[in-house]
Amino acid sequence: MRAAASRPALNFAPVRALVIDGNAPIRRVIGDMLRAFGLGQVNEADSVQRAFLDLAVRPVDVILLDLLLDTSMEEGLDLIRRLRAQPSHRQRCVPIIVLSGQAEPLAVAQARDAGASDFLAKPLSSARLYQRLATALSLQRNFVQAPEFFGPDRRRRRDPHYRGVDRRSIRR
Amino acid sequence: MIGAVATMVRPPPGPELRVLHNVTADELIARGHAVLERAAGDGLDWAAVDIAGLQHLLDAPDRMAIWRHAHDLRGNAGTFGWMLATEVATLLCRYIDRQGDGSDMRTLRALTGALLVVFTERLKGDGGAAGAGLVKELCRLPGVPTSGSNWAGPV
Repeated sequence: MRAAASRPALNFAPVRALVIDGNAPIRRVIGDMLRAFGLGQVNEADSVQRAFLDLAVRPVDVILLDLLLDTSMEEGLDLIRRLRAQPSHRQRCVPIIVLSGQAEPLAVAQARDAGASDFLAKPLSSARLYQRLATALSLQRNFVQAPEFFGPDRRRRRDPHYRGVDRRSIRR
Repeated sequence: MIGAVATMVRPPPGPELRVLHNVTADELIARGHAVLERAAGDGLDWAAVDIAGLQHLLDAPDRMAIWRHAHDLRGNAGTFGWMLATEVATLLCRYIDRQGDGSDMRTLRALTGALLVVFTERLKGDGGAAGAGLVKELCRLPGVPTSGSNWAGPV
């Protein structure tokens, strides 16, 4: 299988993105990287409130979200939960790539349980950002609707011959 | 675990992505990397708010406020080539994570002060021998974890 980097580039011109990060220079850098990849529209927001206002008038195809938005990481997780929890919101199923300096398993699990589509640990690298973006946009998953969860289905195809441990579940 | 009460929802289709015939993924990645390189040479704008916040907290350490600034620096410093800053900020975050209410004020001041020194002395990259010496000294402080993390969020 060819490595992602040696493949032809994806044409991201039709893609619209929203970058949500409370740190203005970082937000600008991420936005500039996305524009360098060729995305047609890159919007920016520095808070949960501004993000929702922006999404109401300028729908996007992918969201990049820094979890530590204002005073706590709960702000970022709350944004994901709120977006996923609104059945009528037209952006309910948009892929959300979480960016965070905290890459411990619990942090990743919290983002996943909130409904995030993918997790990208900082420091940023152009290669990993490109790969995450390509995956999020070209391999869209179905969503699971359960009483207390709405988010991407992360299950792999079941292998009827597999007899090992089920590592997909995490006890919490 | 998906049970009888869960259903699958197919999302609306996203934009159709085609490939560019005259550009490789490598080239786009290089363009993105060039953005990072340019930003790395732009001083410390990205850290200004957190540095000012930590300086303000040095005399009256507030554990949670220090954690937020250090966490922000931890994530962003490496992006701009300040690996030593990421390492020191990580020590600070992990110290607070583990000690919680039991965080010693002197140790907090020492770790916070060290992180500020990295920026004021412009110890970019890994900081060389000075950086290695700084980390070694910090790891000797009581309670400062040298490896691993049992992060459960700030307590």
